[in-house]
Amino acid sequence: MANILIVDDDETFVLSLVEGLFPGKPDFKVFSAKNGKEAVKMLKAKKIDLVVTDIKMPEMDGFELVAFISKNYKAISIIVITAFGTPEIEKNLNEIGAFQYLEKPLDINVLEEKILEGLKQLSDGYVKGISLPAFLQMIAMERETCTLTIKSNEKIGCLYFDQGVLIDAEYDNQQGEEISYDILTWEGVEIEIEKKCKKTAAAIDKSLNHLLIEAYRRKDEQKKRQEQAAKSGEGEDDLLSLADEGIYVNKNPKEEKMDLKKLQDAIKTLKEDLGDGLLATDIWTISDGQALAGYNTQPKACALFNRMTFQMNRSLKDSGFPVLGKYYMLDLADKKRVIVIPLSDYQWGMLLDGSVAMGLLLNVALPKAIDNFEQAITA
Amino acid sequence: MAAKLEKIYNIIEEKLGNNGRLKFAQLTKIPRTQAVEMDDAPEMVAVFKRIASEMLGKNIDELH
Repeated sequence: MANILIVDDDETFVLSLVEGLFPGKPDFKVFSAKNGKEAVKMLKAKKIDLVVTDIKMPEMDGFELVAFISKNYKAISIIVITAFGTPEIEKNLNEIGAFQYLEKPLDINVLEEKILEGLKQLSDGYVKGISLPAFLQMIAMERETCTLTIKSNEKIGCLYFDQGVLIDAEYDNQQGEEISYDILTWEGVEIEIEKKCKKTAAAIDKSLNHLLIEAYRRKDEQKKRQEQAAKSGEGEDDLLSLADEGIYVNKNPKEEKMDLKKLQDAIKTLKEDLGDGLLATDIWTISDGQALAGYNTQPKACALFNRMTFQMNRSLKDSGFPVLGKYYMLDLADKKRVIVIPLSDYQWGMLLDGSVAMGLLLNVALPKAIDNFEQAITA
Repeated sequence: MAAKLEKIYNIIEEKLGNNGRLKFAQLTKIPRTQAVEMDDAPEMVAVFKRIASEMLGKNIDELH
């Protein structure tokens, strides 16, 4: 048994699909909703396996519905219907392979085939999820003006569209073209859509297609470099020599230019400077909140503070305040302190007990730590 | 002693904070500690100025 939901404000079109899809096949039940809002109610009330939705609808349109499904019903397959397609866009969307895409007027036999394909993927145990590139292509195609908040694991970024043109991207206090290449390749995303563009000035001057192609090229290159680095295992003996001191280092970091030995030395120096007052420390990448190196490493704390830094910067900025400066410090209830230093694509967090003198920390240990970290990333 | 290179690093750090300083180090491939010990070679100063100006979005000479 498969439950299919058709969402479109054109009642004649919906009726033709409800009556015309899978006639005489009781294993398929077809439901209908005339806009996204009704579809949400239906999704909450019934177990829907696949959604066929139009884009242009009153009250809650197809983009908002796809975003809602991305957040709340990740396993539901989606087929999007649009009146503004081109063969190039169709090719791009099919290559991305996230949600199916059909143009009006619809051939009901083609729609049946697409529905069966979508349901087969579900029965194969493949969770469809939402592909960000496919969603963005639709935004561009429909010339939407909106702000998208994209969540993937612990990461939260924003994309700003003005009449279908991506004008800016933002993630962890970084903006513009470079950071868009990172966000565009995030997987397993949840999407929130706000129907206004919160930016006025364009910081990106390239087309979405260009950005997507470049983003995936970079991702492929990075993957190859990681594979090569994993094969070479260079410097492993040096790194292992410090393992006895409780210093952790990720042997397969994303940044191929990071000098892991120097990174470990930076941790070791901090440990020497702060002594027993240093309870734990981690350096992590902001793109995924994963620790690169640390002492008494705390993976959950990396993810937590990575997110907190982003949220703080965003809240400060949205409220018209300056963003975070060189560091921020939290005084915890158990007389411990957490200090986090933003370092471009990385952050360095430290858990300290109350015995560490602030003068030593701020005037000696932190400047030295930043200098040492800088040497590791420029090696 | 590279007074010019150090000054550029100072401007970057003042305007863009730690994040800017680290990004600048990544782009120039010369950490601050090394830069202050180098000579102010004209070609190196030119590279620093170009990268700094790109990061700041304006000619760094206007900020001196």
